[in-house]
Amino acid sequence: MVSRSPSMRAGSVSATLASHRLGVAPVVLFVLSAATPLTVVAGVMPTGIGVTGLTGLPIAFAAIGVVLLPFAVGFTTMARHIVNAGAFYTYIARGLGRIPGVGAAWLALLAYNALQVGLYGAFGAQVAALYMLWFGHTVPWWLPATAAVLLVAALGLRSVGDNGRVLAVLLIAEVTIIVVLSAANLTHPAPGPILAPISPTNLLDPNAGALLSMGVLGYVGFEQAVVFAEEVRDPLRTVPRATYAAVAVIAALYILASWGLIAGVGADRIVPQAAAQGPELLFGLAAQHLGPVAVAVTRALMVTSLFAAQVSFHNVVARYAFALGREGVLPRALGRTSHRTGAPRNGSLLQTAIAAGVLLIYGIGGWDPMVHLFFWAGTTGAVGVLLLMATTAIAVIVFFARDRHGETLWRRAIAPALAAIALTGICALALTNLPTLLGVAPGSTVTRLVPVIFLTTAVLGALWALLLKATNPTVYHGIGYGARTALLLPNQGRFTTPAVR
Amino acid sequence: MSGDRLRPQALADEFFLTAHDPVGAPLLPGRVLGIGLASALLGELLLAGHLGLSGGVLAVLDERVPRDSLARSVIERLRAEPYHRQVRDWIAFLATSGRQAVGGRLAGAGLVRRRELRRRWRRPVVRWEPAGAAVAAEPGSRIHDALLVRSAVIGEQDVVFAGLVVATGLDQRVLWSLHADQRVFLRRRLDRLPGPLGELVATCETAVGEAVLSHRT
Repeated sequence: MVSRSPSMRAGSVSATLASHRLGVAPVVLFVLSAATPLTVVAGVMPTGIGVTGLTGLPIAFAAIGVVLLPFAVGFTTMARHIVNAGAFYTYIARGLGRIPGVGAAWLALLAYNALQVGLYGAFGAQVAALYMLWFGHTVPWWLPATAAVLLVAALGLRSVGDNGRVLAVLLIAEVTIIVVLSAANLTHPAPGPILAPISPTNLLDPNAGALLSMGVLGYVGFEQAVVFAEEVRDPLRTVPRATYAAVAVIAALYILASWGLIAGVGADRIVPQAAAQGPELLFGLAAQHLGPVAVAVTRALMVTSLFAAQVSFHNVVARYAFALGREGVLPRALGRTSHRTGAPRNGSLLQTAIAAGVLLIYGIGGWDPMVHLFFWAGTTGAVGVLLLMATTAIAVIVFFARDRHGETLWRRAIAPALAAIALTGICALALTNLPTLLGVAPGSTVTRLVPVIFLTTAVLGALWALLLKATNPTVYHGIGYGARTALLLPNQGRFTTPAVR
Repeated sequence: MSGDRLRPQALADEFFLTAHDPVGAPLLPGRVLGIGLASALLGELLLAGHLGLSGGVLAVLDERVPRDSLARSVIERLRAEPYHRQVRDWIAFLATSGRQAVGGRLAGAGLVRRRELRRRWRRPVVRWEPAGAAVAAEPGSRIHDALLVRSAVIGEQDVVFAGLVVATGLDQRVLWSLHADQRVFLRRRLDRLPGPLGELVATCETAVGEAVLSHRT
């Protein structure tokens, strides 16, 4: 056997590294496929219209999209100067301080978990409906939901949710159906005020906060593009461009889809029909305009869409817990990987346990899976993300106020300020309109519970940070550095010059 | 060589052997394996005094040429790219061809054999079969046994090896039966590593963590 002298692959370091890095397109594709459009179009939209009684969704999506663009400018600019940029709490920790940072981290865990667990309600309900349709038997919603939890758990432990090709195919299929159906709806609208849903006066409605909260729900996930900050060929431009592209595509798609849905049924009729039928409303329109094959495909795609969303959010939560475990803010066991797959194993198991616990409670409680689990948990999670985004925008301004880091005035001050003002206003509206959003009477237990839970979670997080400051200054020092903490820790005086930004 | 359990081989060789199972399949996912091997290759040069590392920057310390051809090619590449000295970049770069390069070195020494398995419908996989079961298990069991008896002398290279094993998650396979106090002992030895070596282990751990967070393991 001829032994070849082993050598490094020919080619410069830069060229080799660049060939392994990503361009704009794969990043945008990842973000959009994590957005799972059919979940929003067939799930959130009809349920939301039925629960809130509002038909201004298209303009809400437009408004949120407009607000998120300057927000994206601000936080992608700050992302150039920090590590662990994929999580909002990092910006808050580096901008406003470690104590609010940990409060934000706990709030984020609550919000993203709520978003993830809520999906099991819709999944269970949809699979049960399909089962009834195809086999004529009832099956309780929590049975397919539990199966989904187990399957997501298995995939999460193998880090399989990152399979770009499968997600991309699903994305293209979902987008195609949505675009075709929306076009059909808009070209053959039901009689009724067709322009009402896109009228900006919807935003002057006292219940605009509920509309805007639902709007945010459509965009959650767009912030994940920064996760690839270290993996892209052109860090300065690729990440911002991918984020703007994601926001623009999501905006266009959901404005079209929600307008189409409302126009297809009729703005004056849709509320009671949506309340009664939920996702069936969309399938009915598909049957009307596209035929039975399209309906069957759409039903199947909705189930896969929900599943893909579950996996996607599961991965977000698992990695959040992983980063916090690496920092030592949460137990270090969460920062361990599975050696065979590289998955954040304990973070994944934690999220599975949370989901299982919530399903158990809802199963025993006998509440409605679409409204009380999917919609309530989803919109509550969206409001949590809204709070995080508003705080992040402020954190960006403060971060650059301390040190310009060579960024332009627009990027470091004006854009984030516009976003901060708008997002804070939307937060206030969202919180005051919680009763409308959840479809309950004002002053009911649920509407008082939600802000209390948010506040308590954030305060507990802040108190935890104070405790860390007193008992474990090394860990306290590393808050907000994610996986980079190992290099930052003053290990007996070494590494005190941080090799980090 | 395979009978001498007391003297370690090259760091990257030992990591490679530990990171593959008896049929030569990797025990770590691709990128993590690459990061571990890259860190081990740089570790060899740090241990031999050819390189220095501080604040994330590598430095070529002397004009000596390593005898080993793989180590020599790494140093030559470093010398050829004086503007690229960030250790993170070098770990990323070396990770891309690490398995092939270190596997080739071991094959040249007769310790592994490269096998390409063709599978239907999928890309062929490369297996690096160890020459014997004892060959593969050696480094891990040597460290493991040394840690069981805390008074045993563990050399610096072995501590670095253990650090890389922990950083890549391979300890779940190799050091899984350690008790808590033995892990604490290992942690203390790792903390006492001199600056450059300690920073190398920490950089490896960071690189693995960031690969997880960016979904590219």
